[in-house]
Amino acid sequence: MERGGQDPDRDDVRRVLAGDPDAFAGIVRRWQGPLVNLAYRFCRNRAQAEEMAQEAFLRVFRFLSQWKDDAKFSTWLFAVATNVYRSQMRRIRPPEVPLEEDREIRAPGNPEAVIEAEDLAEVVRRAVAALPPKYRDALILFYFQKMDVRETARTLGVPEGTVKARLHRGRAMLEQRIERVASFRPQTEAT
Amino acid sequence: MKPLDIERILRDDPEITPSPDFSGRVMRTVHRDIELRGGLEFPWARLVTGLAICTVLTIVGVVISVMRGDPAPAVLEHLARTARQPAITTALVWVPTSLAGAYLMVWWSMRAAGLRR
Repeated sequence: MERGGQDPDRDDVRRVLAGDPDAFAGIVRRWQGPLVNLAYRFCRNRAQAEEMAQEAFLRVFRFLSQWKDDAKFSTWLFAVATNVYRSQMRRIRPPEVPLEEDREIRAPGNPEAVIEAEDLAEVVRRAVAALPPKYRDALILFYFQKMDVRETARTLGVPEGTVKARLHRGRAMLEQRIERVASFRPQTEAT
Repeated sequence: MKPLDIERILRDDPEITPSPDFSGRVMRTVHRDIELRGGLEFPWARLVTGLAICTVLTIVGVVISVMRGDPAPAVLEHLARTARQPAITTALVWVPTSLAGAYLMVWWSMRAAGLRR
């Protein structure tokens, strides 16, 4: 994240490492949205996402000195956060999604199908969160966080070919699971 | 459901906004952590990497020097002579042992006092 030729993340990291912990507030302000949203893709629960993101920021603060100055800060930040979320997801049960949350997913050209589409979209997203971790992580970073293959690979610390294979396999598993769910939901096919 | 529909659903997941006091909560946690742990994590990985690089470079230098048949520098000969003296040999064993013992005692005391987790 560079503005006007300067890198505020790099400046804040240097200030923190020089003994000014309050400079970390700048990093939190700039990255709270992306980190909370990334956590939400894992757990599909707003309150839990904030707790997970808080833990991720704490881990980032503790290991700030391990960030290599020549690497992109955001890649390192997402790598730390993904590791935190992955280990936290091992401890908690699979995500449950309250449907009353304010989401608006519209089915193209069919306003009456909004509720149905919302329901189906949530089923798909929940299915991603319930995939085996290595496929889930790749899909979340690539689709939800809109990273490209290269950035996803760097964040996960694996080669680009591995990411492509995991995305391919993850999508296939997702399609199978959605098909299974759809076969138990005859009203979905009517829309 | 077509694969493209799945991809569209995944890409169109709505963003959520953190609570207004989220950054404040994080900073309070950070300050509490500083009080508990006494600051930032020591960069052990960098220290070990640096020491490893220095060791490798020293070994490579010595090996190249030996292969070229260079005469040993006077300082190395002096060090070798000094290290062979009985008092120095004894000290080479006991000084590191004492330092390690002192380190363990400090570490255990801090742990018992709850200054380290």
